[in-house]
Amino acid sequence: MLFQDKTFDMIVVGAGHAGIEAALAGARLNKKVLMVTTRLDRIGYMSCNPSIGGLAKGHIVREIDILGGAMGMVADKTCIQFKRLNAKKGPAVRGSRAQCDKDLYCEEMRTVFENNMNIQLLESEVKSLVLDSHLSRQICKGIVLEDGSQILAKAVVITTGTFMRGVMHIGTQRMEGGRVGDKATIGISDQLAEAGFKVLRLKTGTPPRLLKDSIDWSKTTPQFGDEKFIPFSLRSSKELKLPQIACFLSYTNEKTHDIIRKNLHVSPMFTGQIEGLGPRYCPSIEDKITRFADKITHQTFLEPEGLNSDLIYLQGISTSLPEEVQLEFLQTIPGLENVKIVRPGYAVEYDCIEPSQIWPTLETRNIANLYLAGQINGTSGYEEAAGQGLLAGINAALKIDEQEPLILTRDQAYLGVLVDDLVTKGTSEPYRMFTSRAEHRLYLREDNTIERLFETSRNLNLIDPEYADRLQKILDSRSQLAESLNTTKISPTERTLQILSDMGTKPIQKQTSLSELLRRNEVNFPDLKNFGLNTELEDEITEPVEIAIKYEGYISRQKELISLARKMDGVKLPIQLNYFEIKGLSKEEMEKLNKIRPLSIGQAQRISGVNPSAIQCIMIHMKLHR
Amino acid sequence: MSYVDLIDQTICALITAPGPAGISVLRVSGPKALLYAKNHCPFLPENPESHKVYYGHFNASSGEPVDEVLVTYFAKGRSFTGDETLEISTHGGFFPSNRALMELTSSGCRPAERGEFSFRAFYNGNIDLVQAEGILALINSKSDGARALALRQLKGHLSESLIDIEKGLIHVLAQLEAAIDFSTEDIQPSSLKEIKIQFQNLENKITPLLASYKRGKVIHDGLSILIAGPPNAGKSSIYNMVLGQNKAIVTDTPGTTRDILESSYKDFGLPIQLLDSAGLRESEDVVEKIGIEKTRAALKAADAIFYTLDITKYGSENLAFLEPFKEKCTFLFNKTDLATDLVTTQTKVLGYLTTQLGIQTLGQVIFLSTKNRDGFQQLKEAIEKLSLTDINSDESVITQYRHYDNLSKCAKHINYAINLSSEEGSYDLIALEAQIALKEILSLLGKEFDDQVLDHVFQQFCLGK
Repeated sequence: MLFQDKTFDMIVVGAGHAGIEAALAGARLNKKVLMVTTRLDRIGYMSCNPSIGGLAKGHIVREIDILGGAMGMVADKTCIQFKRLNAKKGPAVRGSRAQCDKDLYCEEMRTVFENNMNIQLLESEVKSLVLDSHLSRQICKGIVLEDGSQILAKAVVITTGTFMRGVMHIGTQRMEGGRVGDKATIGISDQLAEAGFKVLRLKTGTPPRLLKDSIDWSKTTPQFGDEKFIPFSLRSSKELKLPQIACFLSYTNEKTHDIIRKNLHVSPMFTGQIEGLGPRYCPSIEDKITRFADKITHQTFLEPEGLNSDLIYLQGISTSLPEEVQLEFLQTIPGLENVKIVRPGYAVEYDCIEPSQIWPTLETRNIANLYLAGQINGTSGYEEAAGQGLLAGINAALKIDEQEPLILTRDQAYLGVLVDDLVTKGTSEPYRMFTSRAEHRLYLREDNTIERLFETSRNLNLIDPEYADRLQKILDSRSQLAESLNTTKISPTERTLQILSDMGTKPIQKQTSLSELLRRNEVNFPDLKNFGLNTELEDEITEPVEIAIKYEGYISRQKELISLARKMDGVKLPIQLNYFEIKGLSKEEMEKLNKIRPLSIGQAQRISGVNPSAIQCIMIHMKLHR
Repeated sequence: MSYVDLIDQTICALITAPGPAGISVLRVSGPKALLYAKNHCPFLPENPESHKVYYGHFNASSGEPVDEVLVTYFAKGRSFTGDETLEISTHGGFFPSNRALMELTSSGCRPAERGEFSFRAFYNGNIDLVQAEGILALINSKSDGARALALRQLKGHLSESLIDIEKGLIHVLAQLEAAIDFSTEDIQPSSLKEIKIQFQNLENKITPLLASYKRGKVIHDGLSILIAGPPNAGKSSIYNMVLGQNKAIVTDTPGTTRDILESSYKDFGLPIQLLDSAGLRESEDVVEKIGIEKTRAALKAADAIFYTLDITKYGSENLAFLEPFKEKCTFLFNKTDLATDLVTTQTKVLGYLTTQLGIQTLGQVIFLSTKNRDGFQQLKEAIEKLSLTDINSDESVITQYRHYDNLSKCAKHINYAINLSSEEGSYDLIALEAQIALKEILSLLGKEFDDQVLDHVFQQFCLGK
């Protein structure tokens, strides 16, 4: 076997969105990486919806980019429709979403890998892990392939997505596999269960793919993207590379619902054939019409999977009914009267590791040098997976170099919220990021991603010097602009008062800085050119500065909350603390704390079921036993 | 603090009033309650049934019977404290219960500290922080009204009102979050108009609670009246007249009363604290200066101010410094025995108060003479009016500053949220305000860990430790 003689620093199992970022991060930190996948033609394949980003997810993609990840750049290059969601709902909750050409996305990603000298690709199936024990601790030393050969490495990152004991369901049919056309991964999850991990069974689903030419588009409403493109990555061109397309809106009706209702007895979700817990926020159409029985119609977006693709993705209609039932109900939807299904919708059940069993570094607690990222940790979504992959890759590399790990905080990044939630609270359904999960939301905005993460990124050498320079320049320009807004002052002269009146805003009484003026609701940045300010700057410079000034009061209130929370996060708890010795804790609290082993009082506070009085007890215990 | 450390000990105490009575009741609570009680009550079964009464003899360690008793057993999780608890009824009188207590202590029980049972109830989640404070207030109540109010707080009356506000905030937050995070789904999010109405409803619930603090504080702490005014206006004479005893030195030299004198008496069912202040005037005398500063602080703290002026000299006095306190001022014009034409004087007095403080009626004015006790009846009536603290049986009342502080901050942020939702607002900003408001309520109820608050409350529980 070719690889047996070689030694690797890192092995990444899986080449989905998590695996990609893990491998690339390791390579950027000068590690020799082997990435093993069962299908080399599906690197970075978008198994479900054809878009990257969205609410809270757009934030994550931007964070990944500043930390050196590839997702944002590739999404920018292959974008065929761009939208900024929640544009009018407030500065912190705007989210960018790019619909991408699925085939081109894979192709672009593949190019990224072909140019990387530190990464070797291998098409094979991993059967098991090489485990060793040292001083009663288990250590992962490598992998065993399907042919029985072993490959050793200093760290292993598993990113198997839905493939661990994956089973697909269409009607009463069951097939092994994590995705149509791909084999399931058998063995690893049994081995992990044997090693003492609690394994959960989750479920997810995907809608049918329809044949483009079988749809009567005249009966649907086209939906266009935004005129303005705001690339995820500041490395990307501000010009879109590909032509932009429309999506199309249509609706289900009573007939659709009747057909589904009559066939619930063959839906594996309702027959008990599926045991795994699915995401509540992304229900199948069977679920929707049962749970919201009084709703007479549901919207669906028909989204082309690419510029030259024949496939149409039916957003909002995920289903696992038998194919003939799917066809029957689809044909009641306007525009789909003569539709042809290329691939029916289906549900997937898969194994994941209950995520409170991993450290905030994404290394498992039971087995050293073994890292998990993506759906295997109970999450859902490309962006959540990619973010974890990136952090797992970085932390594996840092551990090999005997460096301090990278643990992002909840007031620093959505990725910090994601990891802390997973390891502190665990999950019982596929975990998706929402802006409401971030208690410091007003500070975690898309526009200030550089401010939040650049320093960390540069200090760890996660980005190349060229990009670091570019980001530094942007930061400098932003602070220069803020400075000149603070120092440029206007006086209540006749001319100024006339300009203000023409702008439709109140007159000023005394000398006023431009930033004070900008705080007014009706005054926007471009208006300031009336006072001689150069407003012909890039949006990436002006927008963050304007937001910081306009919402200063709120942002400072958010920062007060952050400093309160930091105080609690600053009180560190020893890992070996014996919670069973602490007086005043309930048995349930002792068990929970013992399982999670919080690293700080702040983290202990976030464990569900641990009461404020318990925190008091821990504090007192710490004071008494210092 | 020490309560926490001693949480695994079993404690016992007499829970009925000591002295002659029909029966006395002892409570034994903690992990070994049954074990210790069984040493003395051998008739108790191995596994007693919760909430069941057992009859038998309470024996001393020597085996000698002490008394005939009834024992009620409360299983762990089903008692007031949350721990395993036994309540032992002995015959009344000092000796049977006291002897039983001594016996239990010799077996390993520790006598409970003040409020310790309640502390454990809080610890085990049976009562919230506000209820725990109710117990404190009950222990420390200075009047029957305070006792009744504390009992209502302990029973969760106030907590219910606060939890209602907490739920309201969570409800509106959920709608805001749905409008933000599910805006791409086909759900009908609440409009800002609907959101605003919900915030206004919450504001309407908080406003009367905040307003109740003025009365609640008086019930809880008693009424404090400060007698202030320029030198030689007769403050100390009034003080003495009200108290009916000669406490302050009364002389004709301005500035005699150099510190704040205080006396408490009971009237109208309330403890009333009467304070006599130093003469308010600029002085070179250092000792007197300290007195003046103290007076200013006292003006702020008092529930009511009796501002005393000499009716023959008041015109030169500048009252601007009273502006922030004018609502709680009653103006006492002393020495009416020296005034000639009282009707003309009244008009002049009102003109003076209108110019100085914008006061338009004589409602806050009393004319009196400490010499011939004219107007003393009116003064008593004014004090009675201040003591009126009627409370409806279903009304929630705030009595503690901690509660008032959290709640007024909560109200402030709800008000911000209302303003933000009046126009095309930003949902994320509104949500931030709602979250801060919620944080205040959670901290009030002790549902969010706050080191300082918990320490403060429990230190009061551990008085003398």
